[in-house]
Amino acid sequence: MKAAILTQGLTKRFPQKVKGKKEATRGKKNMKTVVDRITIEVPNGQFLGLLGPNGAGKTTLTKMLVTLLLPDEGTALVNGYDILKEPAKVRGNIGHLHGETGGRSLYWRLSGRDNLKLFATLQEVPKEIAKKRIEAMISYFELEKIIDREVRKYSTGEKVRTMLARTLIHNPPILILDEPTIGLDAATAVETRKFFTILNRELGKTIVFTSHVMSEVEELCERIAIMDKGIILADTDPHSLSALVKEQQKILIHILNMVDKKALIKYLEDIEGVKEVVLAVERSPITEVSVVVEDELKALPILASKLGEAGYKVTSIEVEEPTLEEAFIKLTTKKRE
Amino acid sequence: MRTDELLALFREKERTALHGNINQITSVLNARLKIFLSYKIWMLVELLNSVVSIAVYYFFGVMVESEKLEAAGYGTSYLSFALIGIASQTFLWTCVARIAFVLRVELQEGTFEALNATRLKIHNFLFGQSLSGFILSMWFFTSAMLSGIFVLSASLTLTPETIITSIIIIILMILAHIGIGFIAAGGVLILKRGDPIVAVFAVLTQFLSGVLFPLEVLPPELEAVAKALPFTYALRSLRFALLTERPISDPTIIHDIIFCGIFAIALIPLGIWFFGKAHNYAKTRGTTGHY
Ligand SMILES: Nc1ncnc2c1ncn2[C@@H]1O[C@H](COP(=O)(O)OP(=O)(O)OP(=O)(O)O)[C@@H](O)[C@H]1O
Ligand SMILES: [Mg+2]
Repeated sequence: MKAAILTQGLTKRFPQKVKGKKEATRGKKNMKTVVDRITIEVPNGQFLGLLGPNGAGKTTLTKMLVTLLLPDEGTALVNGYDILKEPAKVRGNIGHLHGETGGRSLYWRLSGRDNLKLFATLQEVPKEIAKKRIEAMISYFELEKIIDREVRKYSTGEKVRTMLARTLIHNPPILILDEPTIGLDAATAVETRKFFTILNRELGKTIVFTSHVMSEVEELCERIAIMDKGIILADTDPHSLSALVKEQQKILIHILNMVDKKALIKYLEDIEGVKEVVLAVERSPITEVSVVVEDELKALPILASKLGEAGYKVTSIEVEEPTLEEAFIKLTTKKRE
Repeated sequence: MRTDELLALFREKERTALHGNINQITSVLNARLKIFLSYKIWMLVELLNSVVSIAVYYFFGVMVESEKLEAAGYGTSYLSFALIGIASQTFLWTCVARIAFVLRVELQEGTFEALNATRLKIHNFLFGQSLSGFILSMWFFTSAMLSGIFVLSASLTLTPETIITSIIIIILMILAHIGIGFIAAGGVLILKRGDPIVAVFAVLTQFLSGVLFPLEVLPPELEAVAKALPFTYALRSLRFALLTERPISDPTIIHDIIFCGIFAIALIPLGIWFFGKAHNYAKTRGTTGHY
């Protein structure tokens, strides 16, 4: 079976602004490689998470797949079509949602319905089918009240729902969702993510979902590609990712009116199961200490009671997840080992 | 609606696809006209603008001596002469500057990128925008002419024949300039601005091609420049038809139509080619978005 997406050495460089020069120039030296020879295969029906910090190159990579950007090197097949040779076919096979645009990519002076009709025609959906789908999606996304109003009067959530309807209008087999839940409140974001899962499970849509939030990707995706500085650092699954995250969990303790910090560190280090104690930032009168232990859930109550026995005024004690950056550092060092 | 009902709809196999350039062009055109009509106040101001400017020129313009007009073969009424010039320049703006303007807005707002993520062929974008410009300027032209005739009692020779001749000339006037508009739009894609250049071109053409005075009053060097501009010829023929009832078989009118036709044949393909190149350039630089 052919892959939904297959990239081969896909590379993108952008001119960098050079000091002293007003305009960025395209000389070899001044180019910054934003996507660096990425080769990845996404099988049909897979839900892939593309996880990476700001500036990792996620948007650049996805835009090349939608043919909004031309690669400098390499190419890709989308549903079997070459992004360089048959860009129109590629676009017809993809639904692209770029959350960062915050609904700007809709025509604000047109109604939601007119937007949907326009894009349905441009995506070559036959008129009757387009009509049925538009009505169904208006009802499903609960847009009845506003759909005939100009988009500029919509709330962010309404714009995102309208964009989502537009993304699906031509029933594409592949969805590229670039931080699609940006700007949505927590409850709506949860609903929306659930909907993506349904699209993937029930309709077999292949989904590429970008995010810089680990928990989001962990929850949704069966496969996670971690990207930074233009390369894919790790190609993993949610279980390995959460194991990695667990490995790096710490216990964070806040103590009020601390006087002798050295004594505290010594005291903590002597408790069973404690591997490392780091004195973190101090915001008087609170002192923050982070403690690396073998098993967080076992150590937490022990630490709490021991600190209480010794008379420390603990204001909070909790398990802290590593940040994305910390997980990355771990991953890169692992790769080298 | 329940989820399974929605899903059922997406499970249905589509037998046919909606093909064709006409659908793409008309949907771009349709959207653009709707957007335009949503700016109600602006539209009114625009319309008043052309009517007021005709009135202003009427009061100041009566000073151009009618002998000079007559010598150039434009009859004796300066008002009618200026009316045609002022009303026609709307075509100049819509052809040369409008697509570039619309494109800049679409680039800033991010809608151009959204269009680029669909099957829309880029030349259909250009044609749809041009057609919407054509319809709008036809509307401004007609309202300016009608207010000139009924409010200021300009005297034009309106017969079925002169009207048909005028329409043919206007269509060629548009075709001769639309390629320049495509090139200007390509300039916007590359430079991300370009309106000043377009504006200078339009203003210069407006000044040189005799919107307000016959070419013959220009110094010879400028007259030579004017004679290279297609608008000069289109305007001349339009005036001959509407002021002195010259027929379409008139040698000067035939000459002017051919001249505009040559411009159209040369510039439209060049414009489309250039815009395509500029579009690829923007896709390489990553500047089709709203950053
Ligand atoms: N058109 C462009 N011209 C120059 N540099 C660009 C352009 N687009 C992106 N970049 C640069 O490329 C790098 C990667 O950007 P990209 O938007 O792909 O990152 P991202 O992973 O999507 O980040 P985020 O999580 O913030 O959306 C950034 O350093 C960015 O500044
Ligand atoms: Mg991004």
